[in-house]
Amino acid sequence: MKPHVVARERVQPLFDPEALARAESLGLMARSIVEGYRVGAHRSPFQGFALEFAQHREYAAGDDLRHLDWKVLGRTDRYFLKQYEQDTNLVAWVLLDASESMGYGSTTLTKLHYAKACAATLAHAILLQKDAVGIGIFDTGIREQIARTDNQGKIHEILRRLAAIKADGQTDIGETMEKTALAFRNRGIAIVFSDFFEDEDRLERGIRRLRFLRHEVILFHVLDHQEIAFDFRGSCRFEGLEGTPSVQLSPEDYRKDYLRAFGEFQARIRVIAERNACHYVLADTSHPVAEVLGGYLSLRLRMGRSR
Amino acid sequence: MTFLAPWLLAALPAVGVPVVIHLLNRGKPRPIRWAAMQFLLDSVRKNQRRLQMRDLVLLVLRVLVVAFLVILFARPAIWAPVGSSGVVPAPVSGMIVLDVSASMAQTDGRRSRLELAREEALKTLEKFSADSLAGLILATDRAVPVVPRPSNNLELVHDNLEAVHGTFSATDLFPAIERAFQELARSPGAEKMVFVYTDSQEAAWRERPAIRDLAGKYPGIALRSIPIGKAGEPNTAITGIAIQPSAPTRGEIAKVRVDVRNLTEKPIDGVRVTLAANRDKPQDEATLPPIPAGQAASANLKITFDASGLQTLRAEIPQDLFPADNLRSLAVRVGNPRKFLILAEPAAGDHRTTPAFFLRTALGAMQKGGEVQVVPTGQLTSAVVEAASVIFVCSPASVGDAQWVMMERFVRGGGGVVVFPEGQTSAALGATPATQWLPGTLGKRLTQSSTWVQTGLAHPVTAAWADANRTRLTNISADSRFELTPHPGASPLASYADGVPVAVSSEVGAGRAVLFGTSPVPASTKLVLHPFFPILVGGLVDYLAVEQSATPALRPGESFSASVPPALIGKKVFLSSDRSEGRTEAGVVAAAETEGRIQTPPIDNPGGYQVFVEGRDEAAAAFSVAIDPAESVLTTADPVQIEAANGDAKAGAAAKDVKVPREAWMVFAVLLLLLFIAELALAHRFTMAR
Repeated sequence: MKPHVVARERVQPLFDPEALARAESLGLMARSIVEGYRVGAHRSPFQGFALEFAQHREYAAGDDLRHLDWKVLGRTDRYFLKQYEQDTNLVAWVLLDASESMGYGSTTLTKLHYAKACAATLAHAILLQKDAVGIGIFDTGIREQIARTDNQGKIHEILRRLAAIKADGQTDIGETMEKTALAFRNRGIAIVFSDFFEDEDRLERGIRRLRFLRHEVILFHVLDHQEIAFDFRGSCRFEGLEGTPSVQLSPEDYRKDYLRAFGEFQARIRVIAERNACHYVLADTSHPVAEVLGGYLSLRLRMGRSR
Repeated sequence: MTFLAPWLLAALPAVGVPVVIHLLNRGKPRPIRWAAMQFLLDSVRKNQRRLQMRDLVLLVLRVLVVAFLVILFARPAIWAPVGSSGVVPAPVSGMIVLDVSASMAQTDGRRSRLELAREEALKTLEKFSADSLAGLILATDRAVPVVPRPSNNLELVHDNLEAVHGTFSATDLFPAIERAFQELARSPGAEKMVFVYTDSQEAAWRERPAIRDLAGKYPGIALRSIPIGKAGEPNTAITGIAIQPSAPTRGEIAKVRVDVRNLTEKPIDGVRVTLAANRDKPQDEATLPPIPAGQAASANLKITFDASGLQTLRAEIPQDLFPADNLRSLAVRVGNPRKFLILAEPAAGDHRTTPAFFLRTALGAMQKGGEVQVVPTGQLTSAVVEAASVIFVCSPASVGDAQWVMMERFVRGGGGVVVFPEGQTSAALGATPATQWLPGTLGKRLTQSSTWVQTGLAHPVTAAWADANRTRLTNISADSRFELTPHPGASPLASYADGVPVAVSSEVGAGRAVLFGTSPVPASTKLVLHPFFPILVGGLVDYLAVEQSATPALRPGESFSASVPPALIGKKVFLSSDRSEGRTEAGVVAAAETEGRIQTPPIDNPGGYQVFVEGRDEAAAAFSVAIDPAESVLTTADPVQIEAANGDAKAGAAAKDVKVPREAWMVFAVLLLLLFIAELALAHRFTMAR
């Protein structure tokens, strides 16, 4: 008997019209100001010579004396540096986990397809607001890469290439993140879609690497509803993915213990995100993409305005 | 424990149903490709042993529930002692085998074994539930079915038990037990049992292997033996009585040997034996010397019968705890005084050298109580012949052919003739009709002396001297004799050293004839001067008196039958015993071909019996009934061997421990309920724990 849950990615549209509309209206506000050459909807974190004055800061050893405010020095005999603001554009790097475990779905919708829909929606929204987006598909390493672009006309190629991705192989997201961090030439936003079924230490090490390079990291924890609820009945044979063994059992007997272990796992991922100042977004595939993305983008917008 | 509906135990394989359901549920799992396997595997690793134990506990409980349900339907019962309370009596199909043999009459001083056995059997019967079945078979040396098939009329069995009386028969429990097994095998009912109430006499259980085979042949039937009394009582028994001669005549002094056996475990001394004729006072008595334990002694007594006809002898010793063998009877046919005819020519010289002299002397010495008459050959008429009992022919040469024919008729009619040759007998006999019926032929005269030999003394007349330690016959010799050739079928009384018979005998019609090879005079043989001679003549007289044959001795329970003249057909038959007054009716004379036939019903009581036919004062027949000497051996069988015969280690218990099945379904119902509640509680708890 064939598993009743199979990935049918060809029949699933990558764009959720509602999600797309909400993403367009909300835009992708970077939680922190990102660096860029072009003046866009975002602010540059770099205080330079031109542009608008931002604030004074007390001089510290090693500071460039070119930015010393001589007027203040003359009036108060104290050393202050002048800081400025400038607007810049957004570079978003979307990392999509395409390992075999992402191919699971308790309905016709798999986690991978859900993640691809989210990624496509975000990419479209980013391009619409004149920002740049790059996409990396990984399992144990970067399997496929869609180069950074700010050309809206590339959206069709992005969609085509996303649609062609199949779930396969094991996961090594930590290693992927470390390599990605090295490849990013500019600071930006790393948006990761994964179920994070891997070694948590390696995951955190990858996140730290990105954060060390001052990228903003957003973790979309893509989970099927049954993985969260584990609401199976009767006798079942669970066939492991990514090389894990199979087991036959009555799920009701193990549900309580499984839910506890899985809840702890989710909590640990959340803790890792908080510890590294990342956003953690639970993407339950039973919820519409619009709800998940819209909820998160609304949050970002509120946070941006509050600054 | 046992089951009242054991066939329902065939449903016991249903205990596999929970297992099958469990396996069926496991056999069709829904396949699911699963990503978060590491968390599931962790959970399995942590909980698998606990859950397996839980499943095992539930499975065992469910199997037990089904098993107890089946057991409950099979109506479990436990063996509970008779009289115990707190258990429900279960229906049982029981056959009661009650030993009523002679040995059951032994008492412990107050009550007989039979009374005790009856009491125990009644106790058991009273504990039968109302829907039980019961039958009753009495055991002697054969099965006597009283209530042959298990019946629900327990009152009938009860009444029959109350009415049971003892017999004097021997014991063999096998026929009764076999009959009980056969009846139970044909009978419906759940729990089938044979209860055997016996004094466990060794002889009663002699067919142990066959009884064990029965237990194997009918595995669904339990055999319970209930020994009555602890061990056999000490016993002294009259085990045999014999009279010599077997057919005495009126007025003749007969010797009676009474055998007494000491069956106690220590020697006994001074046992007094009395002997009486019919119901008269004892004529003789003797006190026996000490008899060692297990040994026997004989008392030699004398008796004289005042009347001829069928009489009874009665030997008695003091009563002990088993009185049935302290009295023993023997039926005797007492003949009229015999008339001995010596056919001899008058002596010319000294009459003390004639055969007549020696024969008369010998007959007188034997006190045969008869009349001796010496008749010359010329005076022999048919009237004289018919009045005689035995004719001794000492002058055969002078006997005419007509006289030989007369004697032949006399012999064929039941008389006895002894022929002694004289000088010219050989040639004279060869030309007479006597050669046709005499038992041998006389040949040439042998003059060389020859002695008797001690061997080959098988003839009834001489068998008593076969023991060479008692008597030496080799000093008897004959100087003048004839060569004697026996006719086919004739028997030699004794032989000379050269192989020639001393005398030969044969049966002729209803009578007997004896032919000697020597004349009974000292000139021919030393026999007549030997002390053995009178005894030999006495033996000849007894041997030739064939019409006075011994009366039959029966065992208790056997029937007596005898032929009587056809004129008596249809007449009533009466029995008279030497142990009770009066006569009892015993049927009528039946017609059997050309004669009448008396056939009595089975005679249970020992004693001497006379059979009378209506309208006749003289007894038509007589017989005696005596218990089997083996029945006097009251030793009990080894209980262990009885248990082995029963095929049941629990059998052979004391009478108080007789156990009957009692339904125990309540116990199992409670257990089933507890198991069911435990299963429900555990299943609920496990479900809630998910």
